[in-house]
Amino acid sequence: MVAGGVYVVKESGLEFQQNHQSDESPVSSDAYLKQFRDGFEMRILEQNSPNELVLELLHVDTSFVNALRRILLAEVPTVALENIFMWNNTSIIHDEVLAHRLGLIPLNIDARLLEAPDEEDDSPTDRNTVVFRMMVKCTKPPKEEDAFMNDNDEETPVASRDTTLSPPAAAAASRPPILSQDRPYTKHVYSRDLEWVPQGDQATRFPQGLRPMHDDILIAKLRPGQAIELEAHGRVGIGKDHAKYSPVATASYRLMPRIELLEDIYDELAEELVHVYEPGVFDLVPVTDVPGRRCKAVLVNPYACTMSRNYMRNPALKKAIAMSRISDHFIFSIESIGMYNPAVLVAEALRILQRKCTRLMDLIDESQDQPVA
Amino acid sequence: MDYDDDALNNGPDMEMDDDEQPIDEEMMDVEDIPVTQEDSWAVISAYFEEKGLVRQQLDSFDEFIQNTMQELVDDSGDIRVSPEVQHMVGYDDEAYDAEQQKDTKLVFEIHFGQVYLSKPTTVEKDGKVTYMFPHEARLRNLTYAAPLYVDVDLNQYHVPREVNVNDPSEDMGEPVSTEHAKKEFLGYVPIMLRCLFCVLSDKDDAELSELGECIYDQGGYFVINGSEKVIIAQERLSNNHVYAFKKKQPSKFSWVIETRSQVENSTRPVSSLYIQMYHKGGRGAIEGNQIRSTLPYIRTDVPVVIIFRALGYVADRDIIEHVVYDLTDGEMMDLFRPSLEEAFVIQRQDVALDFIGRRGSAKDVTKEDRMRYAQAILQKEVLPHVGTEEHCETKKGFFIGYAVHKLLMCKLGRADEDDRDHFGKKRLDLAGPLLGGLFRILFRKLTKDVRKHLQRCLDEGKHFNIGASIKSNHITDGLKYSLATGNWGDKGMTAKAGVSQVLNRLTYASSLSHLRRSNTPLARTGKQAKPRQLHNTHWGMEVRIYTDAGRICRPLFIVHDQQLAIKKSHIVQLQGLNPNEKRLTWTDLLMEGLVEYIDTEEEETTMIAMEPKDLDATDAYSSTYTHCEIHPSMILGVCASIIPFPDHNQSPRNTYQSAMGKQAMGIYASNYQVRMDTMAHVLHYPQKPLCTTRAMEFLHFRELPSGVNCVVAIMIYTGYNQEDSLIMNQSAIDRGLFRSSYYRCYIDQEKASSVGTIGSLTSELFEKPAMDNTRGMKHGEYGKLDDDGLVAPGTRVSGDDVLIGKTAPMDSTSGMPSRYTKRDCSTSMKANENGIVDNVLISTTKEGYRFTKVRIRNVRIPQVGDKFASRHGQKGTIGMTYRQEDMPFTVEGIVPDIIVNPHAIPSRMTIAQLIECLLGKVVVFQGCEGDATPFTDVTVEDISTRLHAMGYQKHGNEALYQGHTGRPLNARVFIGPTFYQRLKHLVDDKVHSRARGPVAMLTRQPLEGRSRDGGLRMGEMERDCLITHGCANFIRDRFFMNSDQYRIHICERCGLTAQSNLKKMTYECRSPMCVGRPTQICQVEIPYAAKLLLQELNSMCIQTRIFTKMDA
Repeated sequence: MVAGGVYVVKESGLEFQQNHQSDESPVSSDAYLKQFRDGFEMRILEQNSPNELVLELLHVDTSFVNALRRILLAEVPTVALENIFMWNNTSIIHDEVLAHRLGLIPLNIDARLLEAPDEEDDSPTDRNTVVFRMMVKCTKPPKEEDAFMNDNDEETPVASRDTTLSPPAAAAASRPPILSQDRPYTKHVYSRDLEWVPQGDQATRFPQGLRPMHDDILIAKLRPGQAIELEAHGRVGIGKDHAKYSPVATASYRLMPRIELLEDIYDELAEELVHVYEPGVFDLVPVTDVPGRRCKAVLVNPYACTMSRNYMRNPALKKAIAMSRISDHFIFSIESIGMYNPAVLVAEALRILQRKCTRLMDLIDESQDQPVA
Repeated sequence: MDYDDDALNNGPDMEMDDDEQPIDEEMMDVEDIPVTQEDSWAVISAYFEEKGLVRQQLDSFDEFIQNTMQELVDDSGDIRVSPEVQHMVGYDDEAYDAEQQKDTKLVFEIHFGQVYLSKPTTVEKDGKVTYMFPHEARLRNLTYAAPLYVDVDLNQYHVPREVNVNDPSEDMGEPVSTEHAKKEFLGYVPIMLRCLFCVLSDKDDAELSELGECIYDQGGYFVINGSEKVIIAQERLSNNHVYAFKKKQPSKFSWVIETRSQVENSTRPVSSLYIQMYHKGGRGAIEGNQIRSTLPYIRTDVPVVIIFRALGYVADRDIIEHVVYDLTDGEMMDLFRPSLEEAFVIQRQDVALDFIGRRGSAKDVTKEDRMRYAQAILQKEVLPHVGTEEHCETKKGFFIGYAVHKLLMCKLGRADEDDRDHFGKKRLDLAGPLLGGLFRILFRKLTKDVRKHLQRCLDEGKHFNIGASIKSNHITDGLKYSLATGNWGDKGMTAKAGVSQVLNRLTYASSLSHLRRSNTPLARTGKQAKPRQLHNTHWGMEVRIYTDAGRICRPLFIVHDQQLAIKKSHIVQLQGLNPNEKRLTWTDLLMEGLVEYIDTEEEETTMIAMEPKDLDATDAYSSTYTHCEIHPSMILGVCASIIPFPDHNQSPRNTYQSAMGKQAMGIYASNYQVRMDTMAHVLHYPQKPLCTTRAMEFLHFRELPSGVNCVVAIMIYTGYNQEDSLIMNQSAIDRGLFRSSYYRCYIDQEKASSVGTIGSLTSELFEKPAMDNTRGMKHGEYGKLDDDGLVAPGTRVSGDDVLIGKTAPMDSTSGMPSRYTKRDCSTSMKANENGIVDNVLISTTKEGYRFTKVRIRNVRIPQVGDKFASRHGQKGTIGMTYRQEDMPFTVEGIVPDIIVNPHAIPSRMTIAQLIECLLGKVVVFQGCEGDATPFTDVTVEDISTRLHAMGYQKHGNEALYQGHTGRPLNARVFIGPTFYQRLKHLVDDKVHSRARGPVAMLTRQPLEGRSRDGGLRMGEMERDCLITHGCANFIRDRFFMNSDQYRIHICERCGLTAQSNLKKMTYECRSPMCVGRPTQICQVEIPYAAKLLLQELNSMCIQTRIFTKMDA
């Protein structure tokens, strides 16, 4: 078992308590590695949708899990639109705002298939750049009766490949825009209007074609006569440089709560506990064996505890419950934006962490080779 | 406005289900449902729907246009002129004599009749008259004004010679001949936007946006030379009131009664009447408590009883009946006795009149003259508002009696001293009366000119043309001048400044607040705190000033027998829920006597309940309520209505937010893309706040918001949010949080040039200046100009780039032949700004010169140093930005956008911010708006119960993990969504430093100010610091070497400046005592300012000598 302990949750704050069984901390790196190899456990807890993943990591250092989290947020490369060549923009959205909006559109591209831009020579090549083009124009309605029709309504909405779309959002996407005589003819420009232009051998390298993650991201609205014509270059980048490159909506973890009932809690107090604690953590069960007691509080799901110390306001409950967090038990959740499966993201992040470690070791070796000045 | 009704009935978090009755046939006893506080909103909606937000401005201006102007023209009186036959040397003396012999004379009379106002128009250079729209006026720097016409009659009379032509009461008989001139042009009158005469008054939203107007704009301002001007309501003390003031001991008087009498609608200056009671134990014959009065033009104070006698109240009993009223009131009778005794010697009216007349300015005249003089003063000068015609003595007697009665009451302690700051005794002059005053002066000036012109025509025997005699410039330019500069009054005369101001267009709320502001003129030296304090009577008045004749009123529900006059059925009708019934309006409510306007004076005599439920409460405070507040939150003004839960804040914080809300970025008008404002900020992705107030509905704060809902954590994190700074999430900024666009407009026009009359170049010219023939070209980049001399839209421009190329022709006739024929007058960017050319407008001015506006746009991304504020007077600058991975995170992975330091809370007591955050958290999970209206029944406990029901810690606290280390944080953190505003103070507009740079011409010291690349001042206090540190050389470095170091040569013999030629190395002193003697010159270094001082002293014949050796 890895050296661990618990954070005991007190009213005033947290208090770290070393785990008594493992108070010998590893003395050498090999011992540490052995301890880690023996103790480390990882389990998938939930996978509610293809883009979501909840893992459980046990017997591992906070620094390791936090590094994983930070790398997921900021260092796993993705492709996003970086350089926009605006040929024509007569919409009311200014060039720089439009460019910013385009940059934030997630692209369904595996960044591993592209090279990172060269630091010295950042000229685009078919190896490091993908090109999209957007040519939209809001034409005058051909007939008077079509004047108030939105041309996007004629097409049936493209079935979203994103199955995670929540029902209301999906309903909104398929709902026809409001047709009204008061509304002037307006063309909506969506992310699906971005059209991939393969460069070099890209057509063969990406046989499925490249497109944005979602087809129905609204980019702009055009009045008759207005047009947007542009070329957008997608590049590999990391979240550290700009949040648009972050592959996750969020990646975070929490420590596993440990709740101990020091004494049995019955009746009114139990009801209050169930009410006052986060829903689902405690439940009431009828009691038959203890005379004069109706029901009793039992712990059903410690995962649901968010560490709000509400119960501590009641002295009786405070006395009866010990709440703590296990310092080496992490519940790690990842919400991918979509270009990578969250499991792939974890693997990628670990690879990056490994690379960093290798580099650090190389640097240490290097410095040891050099004589101390 | 079905939106309003939705909000009113389905307010998602209004827990008042009992009044949400379905409107159907079964509902028979609508009358029995009590009217609740919630129903008030239907009434308030009706009010704003009908009145809008700037009704005072519009009504006041409409009154001016529709009535005041015509009245002023009617009151101006006819112009009557009789030809004066002139003596002309050696010319027709007989005709003159013959004319002198006649017993009748010819009289010309000019009568101004009906005035007409047309639609706003403009006259182009080519003489074409076109209708003008406000937006065009704004863009082309024109004045949105309508031409005013008047019917003029020219009558001729033959009247007897002795008739006084200038007396308007003289009857002229039948005119000999009459000439009617229809619709003569009087001048242009600026038109208030959205008033009855504005072209926008009857337009709907679609038409308005077609015309380039903002659909939420309320009007109420003018467009003068392209800039929007608001007339600020001016507060003044009301006239014709009887005020009683207590005097302190050094004064001769114990009490003074003051009445500022002015005839309504008259230009006559105010005539004040004072009635004073003397202190007991005063000097001389005055033994105490006598009442005397100061009359105009009378040198000494006159006993008040003598004034009564002079007015015809001779008998003591008569006088007492008018003063004491109650003859059994012994106390008061006793107090009045000294006054009666004092006037014992004068018992007749004629003696009294003579007594007054003797003390007037007319001396050495007969008694009859004196009496007539006194009579005239009493009739015309004393209390003119009571009457200036004959036989007003009785009325004036009653008035003075009332005043003396009040004085006695005060002295007896039965009445209090009057309060100068009482709002009931204040009147507000709005746009109408202010413009009326101006129009009167200008119209009089115009008629004076017409009279002069007529007289000259008659005297010189020329034909008189009425149209030519009316100088329309008086009214056109006069009104424009006052509105443009804010100097209210004739040009050249001392006048009130700041009456008209440029409409603040920073954010929509700031414009609204500006249109509803009032100004209290105070002497700048006045240190008295009293008038600055909020007076009790200001309650509720600052919001809905509804005025007739400047009176300040507010609407209230009428209460009969502890029951509101308004019933549930009215509310239902107001909401218009029943399509079969006519929808009630605010006016209907007024007409039916359900609500009424109460002014501040009347308010003192009413019993007002705060809420409808107070009326029938068993423990009701009063059983004699006469009125009920419509809603207590309506006491708040535009800016304060935006604050959520202001009733939970310390009051100064609400005041701070009210000032700060005006600096918040948002969308200031829906037409901002077509406007060319000199400066504007527009927030990119504004959001309506999660916690709204009901009043926001009327302020369109949801439609044009000025902020963003941010996840705010109140915690200490890394220490970069100390002293009112805050930490912001860089990833959120990357995603567009608080981005804004900054617009700046540069204006130029081709002006007429005085030189070059011979050549073709008579005016300045927009062009790309060429190096070979243009003198004085700037350092900036001219390459971005097109051939027409203007930059193209889309061009990226930065500091000192030339935006508008313009040259002026140079006088080539004189002097030496030069390769230069033009002078550069181009406009370049501000040195420390950059951006992209957004829009270029070319048009012509009224005079036909070409005219251009160039708008530059620039995206401002939040960065360290930018200023932000919540809605609770909690402002701060960004101290650090952290990316998402460095920010703390909750168990759900939520990361704050903003981290505020907890030290900002306890001393400022902005509890409302915490409640807003808590309610925001509830509401964000429920997916609805939170109601944060003040003075409602929502409690913190309600909100936290709702939050807890959603599985969160009741009070909004959460466990967080440190972003850098990944460890759990020790303390729980209060975190939730709060509405934040980005304020206009951005570091990019403030950063400044300089090492070397420009110096002032006169002193050669560094210039001041960022815009001039000036130095940073090392002031006296900084100097004191250096002195205490004892670093003398550093002081020398700062104040001398790095400022205006200069060297001169002085003669060691005489100490005066010597001539030096450093090139030839020759030095000499030319002062008489040194000429011809061996030179002894030395060089000294002195500040240039010191050298300047020496020269200035020299010019005053004071010689200053500098000696370098002690013994010289």
